[in-house]
Parts: sequence; structure tokens; C-alpha cells
Amino acid sequence: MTFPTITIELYGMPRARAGVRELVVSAGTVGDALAEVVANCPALADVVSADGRLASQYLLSLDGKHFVSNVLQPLQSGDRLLLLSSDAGG
Amino acid sequence: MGGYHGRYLRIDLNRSTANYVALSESVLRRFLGGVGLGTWLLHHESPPGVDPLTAEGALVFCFSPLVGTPLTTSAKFAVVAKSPLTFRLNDALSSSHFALAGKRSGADALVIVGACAVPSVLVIEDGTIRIEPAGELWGLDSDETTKQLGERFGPEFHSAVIGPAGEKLVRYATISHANRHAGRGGLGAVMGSKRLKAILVAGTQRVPVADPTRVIAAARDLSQRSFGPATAKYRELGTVSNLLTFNRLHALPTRNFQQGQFEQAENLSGESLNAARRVARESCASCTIGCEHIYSSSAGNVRLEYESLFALGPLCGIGDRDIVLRAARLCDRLGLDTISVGATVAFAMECSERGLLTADGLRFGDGEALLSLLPRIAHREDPLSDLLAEGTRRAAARLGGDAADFAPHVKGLELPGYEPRTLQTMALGFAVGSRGADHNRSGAYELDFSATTDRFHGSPEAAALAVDTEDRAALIDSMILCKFLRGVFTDFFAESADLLKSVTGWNISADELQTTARRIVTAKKLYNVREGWTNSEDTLPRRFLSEELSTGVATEATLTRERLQTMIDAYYMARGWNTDGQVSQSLIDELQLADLSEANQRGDR
Ligand code: SF4
Repeated sequence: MTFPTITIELYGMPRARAGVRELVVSAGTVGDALAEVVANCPALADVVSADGRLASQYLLSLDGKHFVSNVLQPLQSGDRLLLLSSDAGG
Repeated sequence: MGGYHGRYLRIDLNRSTANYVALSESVLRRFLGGVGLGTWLLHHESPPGVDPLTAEGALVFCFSPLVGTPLTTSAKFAVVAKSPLTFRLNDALSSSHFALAGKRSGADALVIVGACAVPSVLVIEDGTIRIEPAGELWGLDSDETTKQLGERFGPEFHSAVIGPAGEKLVRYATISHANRHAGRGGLGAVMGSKRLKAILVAGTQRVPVADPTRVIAAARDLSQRSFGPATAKYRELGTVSNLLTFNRLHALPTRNFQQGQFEQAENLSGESLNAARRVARESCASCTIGCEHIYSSSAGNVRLEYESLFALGPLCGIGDRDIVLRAARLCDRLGLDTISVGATVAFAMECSERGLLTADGLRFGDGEALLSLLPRIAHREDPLSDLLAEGTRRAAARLGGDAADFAPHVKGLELPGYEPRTLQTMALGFAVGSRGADHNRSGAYELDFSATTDRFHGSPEAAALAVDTEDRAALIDSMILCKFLRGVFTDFFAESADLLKSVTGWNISADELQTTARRIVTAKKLYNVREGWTNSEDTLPRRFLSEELSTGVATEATLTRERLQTMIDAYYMARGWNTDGQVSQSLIDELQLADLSEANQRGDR
């Protein structure tokens, strides 16, 4: 099965830790995309928590429009996932 | 009762006297300390209708039950007064040794009334005061003043000082301690109006806690958690990392809120600043997080936060890193609130481009003009800078035309770096905030940055959640702990109750603390009502309600007056206030606030 090609943009702590601005990966769901982040960026191994969810210190936005937390959410070709640090304040 | 002296020190500068005034356990338990206790004291010590820049106005420094304990981030103090910018209650927090030494001086709060005849420093040592002339310090910047005071008084004294902006009564002047500022709302001008260049504190009076073993265990646990993932962002990058994220989300206020994205954001980003310019990381006293990132500039090293970066950069259309860093450094030394001064200069740039203001061709992106204006504003050097020293609300009123439509303030306080059209729960938080447009007393943006709400289409359902963020802020600002610690709590109210129980000995519950937080928010509201608040103040400037952002996904965001009003109505209901935002007698009784309304009716002091 071929997964759609999506782009993961990294900002803040994720970018600083991974040392890259974006990743282009094949992923059918948000969970697949997070697995690709972990595989490609060992410094972001903590992006997935023990229960398989997005760890609380991170946020994900789909195309800058909606924040997503459901790892089963399907992705489509051309989607852009934004991986951000949580806690915007200060 | 552990954690408290049970009294405040009332200092009358007119008479050069000081006396302790008892604080009952009932008051302390209802208002805790910090912002809460400061609000109670302002109700009692500041006469109704007072001009905050006259001798009658009170300036309150409040410590807290946690100050002096080993709990991480607890070395904080609140400064509370009627704001010369908003003429409403203003509370600002700062950190470090002034809090520790101030509490050791023997009081839970310092209340300063009256004014000195000549520029002076107020020295407080173990409950005694002396007022010394300080003509030679008048005119010096915050850094130089602090340095000279250190040499004159020695290391056991810690000082809170004003820069030239406070002396010249700039309505958004700060009070500085250890290069941190009680920044918002012009508290430095209140201190300047009392001709106080500095307040020095020292003392030996430590306060025991109720259960030292439990406090030490809690401190160890909290410190351990403060090293974890919830605070990693602050340690690794600091708040400057917000800039690029906000830019991508069309939430970065740019060119006086005309756009939500800045084309030079990459150049100013926290990520690139950290790679190219970071020289050190520091922390406040008693803090295990250490969020202060220090960067190099051609004018020396400077501590930079997101709010300074956005206000002196994109908001003014400036993308030159060195200019922004130099401007931040200048603001620190002059004692200018970076948010308000950045917003006022950005407003002036737009006025100049529209022909409403003659200002030598001032325009967005002119970094040299910004650097030239900052010291002129601090010294009110010429008619233009004198006008800008008044803040955007007063400047717009004087300029006339449609300037008020795009003067970026709520209740007179300039907006921080959150675009309300694409962060619409935050728009609600700005509109109803007691001290004006404020991101520290409302954390409503947290909902916009979540899957819970649609940030482009604010809804009344978010109001109750916005109330909850305000209540949490009221509690953490009164205990006091640093807000950057908030992510480490799993059950904030219950864990706060445990901390307070160990320190004070009170058998206090999470439910009681939730009521305490509601009480403090409503007490601030009652102060504003006393000073003339009506619900017409709970709104946003016309720009946000009539002009749409024009790029990318931001075009989907619409914030109409009707939408905002629906959210405000829901907010009043969630707070238990009347439909017009006033506070009913039954709620005053329920929240045990009757002593405040009675004091107001009597016109105490
Ligand atoms: S986290 Fe930052 S602001 Fe908070 S106490 Fe520590 S150094 Fe100060």
C-alpha cells in the first residue's frame, strides 16, 4: 500500500532539536507521521508518549488551520503538518 | 499561621514615617498574597477617584506566603497600583532578591503613600525606614542606578529602581530589579510621581513555615518536575521561539496589527537568534528552570523575551536583529515597557504614513527612527515624543480623525503579541481583562492553540474555559509561583492546596482555592467599578472588528462586534456577574467581598 506524501514542518523546540526545518514523509495517518518523525529525528523520540499519543509538550496543526490530537486521523497527499512546542505564553 | 508576618508596613513619604498595620488571618486566607493581597490593599489604601500620579495614590509591593521557602520560582513579588495608563487596577510581577529581602524586612507587603519633596531613595531595613536624597541619581538609567546603589549600600540591600521614563512620568514606565521589570501599566511613573528613584530593602526576619519537612519534600519534588518536558521549551529556546510559530499561524501582529505575518520573521526567529546570538542562559533567584536567554548585540548583551521581540520587530515592521536587540536593551535601561512603547511607535508609524501625524517621514521598518525615538520618549524630549509618552489611547484622542480605530489598546493598555482575529478566545481575554489587553492574567490563548476551539470563529462555549485560565493565573500570581511552571502540575488547584497547607498550616482544599481565585478576579473588577468602569470598556479597537486579515488561511477568520459580544455575554454569565458585567450583592456576599465594597463606600483612607 502506498501512503500519501506529506510535509512535516518543525518549529521551536522540535526544529532546534532535530536541526531540520521540515521532513517529507509517506504517512497515512497522524500516527504514521509521528512515527516517521521519531525514525528520522532521534532527538524527537519523546514526541510520542507511552500510550501512543502526541506528548503533551508538543502540538500538531494541520495546514495551520486546525490543531489535531487524534493519531488515527487520516492524511491526504499534500497535507502539511506543523509540529510545534506547546505553551505559547510568555 | 506559617508563611506570613501577619502585617504590612505602611510608609508615608509626606511625613517620613512608617508603621506596621496588622493583616488578619481572614484577609490573608481570602487573598493569599501577591496580586490578591495587593488588590485588597489597594481597595483600602487608594482613595476612590485618585489620580495615580498624585501623592494620594498608593503604591503597593506585595510578597507571598511562599517567598523565602525553597520552592522553585517562588522568589517573586507583585506591584499593584492604579495605572496612569488605564486609570484601572494594575498589577505587575517581578522576581528575585528584592522579594526575598523585602519579606525579610518584616512585612508581607509595603504600602507607600505620599511623595518626597525632592528626588530620594527609600531605605527599608527590618521595619525601620529612612529617606535619603538622591539628586545625584536622578536622570541615571536603571543599570547605572542599580550599580551606584550597590556600591553605596552593599550587598545585603536589594533595590527596585526607575529609569528616566519613570522620572518623566511616561505612562508605561517600568520598575526594574535585577534587570527584570514590573513592566506593564506604568508603575514606574507612579513611583516617579512620588519622587522615589529607588526602594532598597534588607532584613533578618525570617518567617517559619508550618511543616518544614513537607515543604522541603514538596520543594524537591517540584524542582525535579521543573527539569522535565513541561518546561523544556523555556530552558532550551525561551519565549522567543513563539515568533516563528505565531507567524506560521497568522497570529504574529505586524505593522500595527495590519497583518498577521511578517516577511522577515525567519531572520528574527528564536531559532535563528539562538543559533547566531545566544551567549548565556540565566535565571531568577530560587529558580531551577532558567528561561532567561541572553543574546549579543552591538550595544552589549541583552535578555530578550518574545513580547519585546514582536513589539520592537514585526509590529514596527523591523526585521534587523541587531536593531531589535539594541532597542530592547535601551528599553531596559530607560525603564520603558517594551510592549507599550513598541505598540505606540508602531501606531505613530501608521499615523505618519496616513498623514495624521507630522513626524519627519516616520514609516514602518525604520529601525534608526525607533532607536532615536526611545530615549526621546523616555525624556519627553520634544512634542512628538511627549505625545507618544502618553500611550496610544491618549495619543489617538489628541490626533483625532480615525486614529482611535487603529490605536492598539484595551482600556488604554497596548495589546501584547497575539493577533486577536486569528486567536479569538484570546480576543475575549483581551476585551474583558481587568488591567486591559493582557496575556498574563488570561491564558485564553491556550484554548486557541488546542483542538478544543476554532480559533478563527470564537464561540461562547469557550468563555467558561477562558474563565478557568484567568482563575489559574489569579491563584498562581497570588501564591506566587512562576507561570512557566504551570505545565508541571497535573491537578493545579489540589497541588496548590497541598503546598499552601504545608507552608501555612491551613486545612485548605482545592475547592476553597477555586473560590479564592474567583474572589480575586472579582475583587479586581470591583476596584475598576469603583473607579468608573462600565461594560463599554470591554471591547476591542474597531480595526479588529471591521478589517479582515488578507493572507492565507487568516482570510477565513472573521471577528465581528456581534461575535465578540456573544462571547463577552457568556463570560459575564460564567463569572456569575450581571448581564451588564456588574457584580451583584449576592455574589459579593458569596465571595466574602463585603469588606471591600464597604471600604469603598466609606472611602477608606
Ligand atoms: S522560569 Fe524564568 S521567569 Fe520564571 S522564575 Fe525561572 S527564570 Fe524567572
